[in-house]
Amino acid sequence: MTASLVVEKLCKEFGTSAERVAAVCDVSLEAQAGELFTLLGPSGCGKTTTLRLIAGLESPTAGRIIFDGQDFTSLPPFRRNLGMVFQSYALYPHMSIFENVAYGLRARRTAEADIRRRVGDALELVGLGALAARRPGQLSGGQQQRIALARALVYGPRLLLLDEPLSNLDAKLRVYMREEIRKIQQRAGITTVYVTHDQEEALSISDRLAVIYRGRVVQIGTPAEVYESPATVGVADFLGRANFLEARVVGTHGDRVRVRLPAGLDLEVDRGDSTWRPVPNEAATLFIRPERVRLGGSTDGSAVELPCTVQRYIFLGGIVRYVLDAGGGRPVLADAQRLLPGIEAGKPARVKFDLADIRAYPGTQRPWGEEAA
Amino acid sequence: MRAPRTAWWRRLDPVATLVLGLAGLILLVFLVYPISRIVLNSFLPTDAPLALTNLTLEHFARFAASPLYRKALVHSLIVSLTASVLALLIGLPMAFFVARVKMPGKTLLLSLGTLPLVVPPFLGAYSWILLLGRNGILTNFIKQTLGFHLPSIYGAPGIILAFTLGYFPYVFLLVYGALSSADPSLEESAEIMGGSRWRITRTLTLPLVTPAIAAGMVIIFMQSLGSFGVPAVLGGEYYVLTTLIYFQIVGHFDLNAGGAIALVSVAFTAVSLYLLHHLTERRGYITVTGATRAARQLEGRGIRILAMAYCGLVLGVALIPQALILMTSFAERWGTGALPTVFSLGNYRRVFTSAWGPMQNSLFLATLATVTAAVLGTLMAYVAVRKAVRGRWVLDLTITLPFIFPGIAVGVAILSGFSSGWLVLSGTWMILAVAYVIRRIPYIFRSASAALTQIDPAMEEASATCGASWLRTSTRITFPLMLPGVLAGASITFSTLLGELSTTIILYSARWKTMTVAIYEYLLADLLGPASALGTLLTVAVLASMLLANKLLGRTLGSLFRMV
Repeated sequence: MTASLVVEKLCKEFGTSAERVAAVCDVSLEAQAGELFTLLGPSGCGKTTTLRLIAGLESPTAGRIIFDGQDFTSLPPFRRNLGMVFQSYALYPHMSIFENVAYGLRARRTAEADIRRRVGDALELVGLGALAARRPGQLSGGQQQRIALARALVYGPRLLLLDEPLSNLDAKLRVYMREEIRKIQQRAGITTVYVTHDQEEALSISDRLAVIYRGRVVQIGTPAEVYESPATVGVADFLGRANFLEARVVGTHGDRVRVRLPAGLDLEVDRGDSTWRPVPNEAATLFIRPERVRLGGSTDGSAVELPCTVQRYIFLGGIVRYVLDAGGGRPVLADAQRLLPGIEAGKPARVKFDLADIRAYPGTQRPWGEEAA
Repeated sequence: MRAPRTAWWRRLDPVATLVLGLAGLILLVFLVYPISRIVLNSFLPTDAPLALTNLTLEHFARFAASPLYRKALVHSLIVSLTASVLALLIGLPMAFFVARVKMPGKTLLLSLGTLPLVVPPFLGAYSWILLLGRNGILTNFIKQTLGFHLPSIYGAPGIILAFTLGYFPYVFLLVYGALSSADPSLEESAEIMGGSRWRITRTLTLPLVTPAIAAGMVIIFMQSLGSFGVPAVLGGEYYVLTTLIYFQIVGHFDLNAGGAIALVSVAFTAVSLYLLHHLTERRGYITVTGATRAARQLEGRGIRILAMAYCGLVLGVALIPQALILMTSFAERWGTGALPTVFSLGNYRRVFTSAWGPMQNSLFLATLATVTAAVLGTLMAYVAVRKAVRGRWVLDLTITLPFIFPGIAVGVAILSGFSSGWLVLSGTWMILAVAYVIRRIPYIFRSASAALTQIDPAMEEASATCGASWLRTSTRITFPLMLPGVLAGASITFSTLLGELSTTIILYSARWKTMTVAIYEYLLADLLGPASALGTLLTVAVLASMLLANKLLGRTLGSLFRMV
């Protein structure tokens, strides 16, 4: 597959010449033809600005945007032949649904008969053929969302941009619509850039994703790669739940690093951050997902076992999250599928991990939420 | 890799530049130039040419030396301040009652409450003479039945009465708006925390509506200070600043002296606006966010009766002038009693022959000025809200200056600027049109920019990503979505221009007399019938234009005035 969208060292600074703030800094990424590529990050990280730069709604301070070999960088948005769905949907209240969807075709001076047919097709594609005569105000949020999608796809754009398209829907509809969007995108086979701050949405919908933080790309990969092997403690913490254990570097062994837990246990684990060159006695942070932490009353010969005290548990329906004191500063979380017999608050227990599930990071890295702003 | 810097002129937005340039030019020619002239002139002796050695303070010194000047200033302040306070006393309870007491016909109350603002105030002023003047209906009635002489309506009492009853709707509508848009959960939470009703009113409700009260009072003060018609009709020998300006300019052809008085009047307006700004800024009032539901209504029997009686009484008194004018317009002959004895359409027939010209002039000028102001104001609002460009302060100034200048001062400024020199417009329709447009652009600008701020920029961005050029986006999306706001502003503009007298009285010529001038002349000639007939026609035209706008917009009459 060939790269369809290439973003090269994109920068965007806002503000006056005296006080400039970089919203996007040195962002480079490539989306393959037909791929759904997600920009994921906390609010204010620059992901929407990146999308708006790709759309041409903002002009970059530096860098280039190339689509199918054509330099987009200084092209106005209406010459880029793209479709975009906005967070607020931006449907036109003074036009019917039909006219809303037909808007891009009229801008392209399509013949009237052609408009009729293609708008009909687009409305069928999103399953709302019967609503053509309505006004946007008469539609539910989910319906408006699909109309916005139809409006963006009807004229056959080569690139689809979605800016937090699901954030205004309730939780159930959000799950349903993200699958709909995925299906429609697959059927149209269109290269898509999707912006969201919702990690679950990003993991479930994307072919690949870029995690963005403070205007920079932190990691690019498939959902599984990013979830299993986050590049930094920040990414690990942002994508789902994470346990962090303090440790100290003892030595290195090839690509792996040997660390010692405060309890005196030595482990040989993978580095999460491939740029890290650990030196002995350096502080390290170990990461493991709660669902990879097992909890039991007695030893069973697992690779890593630590004694702990059960503090409490949180019943979440599908899982039960145990909060444990394993001697480190922070509590350790362990997710079980059901309430475990014999594990009770205040009682001692044993936590167990597999070495393959653990990643080590330099001890200086902190979760984003704990960094000084 | 840094993008090469483009030349500054390439980075200019052509639309913004064009509109700003146009706005700047209009501002320069029709606002800055005449205002500079009036400022300069007021420091020149009467009829002296402009020269540095000629500069003098003699026109201003008259405020110290001349009893006429001193009195006019004091009178202006007394009547304007008294009217603002009385209007507050009348309007505030009414706003509370309509907003917070359960009663029928609130929509009607709000529409009727707007009526005094719609009708030119000097018309109402005259009807108080009909009622309470030396030979007034009520004066005679009381004299005959009670043998008691009412004090004279001329001078301060009449002017204050006309201002108060003509302008109290500003307080009423603004405070009502603030009360009905405040989030009721604020008061409910105070109640849950144990606040008594009186404590809540004092500590929460009143502070919430303070900005509205202040704005209403400042508007009334400014309107009263700038009103020419009311003191001209009711003042007699009781001079105020506006009538003094008129006296200097029309009586003595002394533009320079008139300019100096106008400047003094502007100073007071500017100070009151500054105080308003200061008060609302410093106290850090949060803009009241839209209420999600209506506040709870008081349902007690006593309070409901009180509220209905009060609102009925206030509106009844405030609408007496309108009723009286309507009746007088049909009166053919008055007997010895209080009421006319013979009714006919004679007055209407008469004005349709003798005042046909002014009617046409009024419609022509108001329409032309409204359309021009609508186009310019909308473009300016578009640039001011949507384009981040340097030089936006030019627009802000264009918008603020005519607000500070009372109508008669704008008239004097335009006359100073264009009665001689490189561009002579006096005596033409253009001088009136120019003054009207300059004075009313702010109305359009405000409502258009309010409308534009409400429009999600994503609407326009979505249009661009759909492949629409800037031209298509603005004509298909932006301007259609702004239209309701522009229409609202335009309908206010048109209505107030039809009833405009303060600026017109300085600028009109024999050929370009407006309806209001014709009415004023009828009144001076004591021709009550034709004056009332023409006044009724004017009121009907104003009401029709506002009702049409309401119909198009689906709003109430009152909401149109709230943004002014």
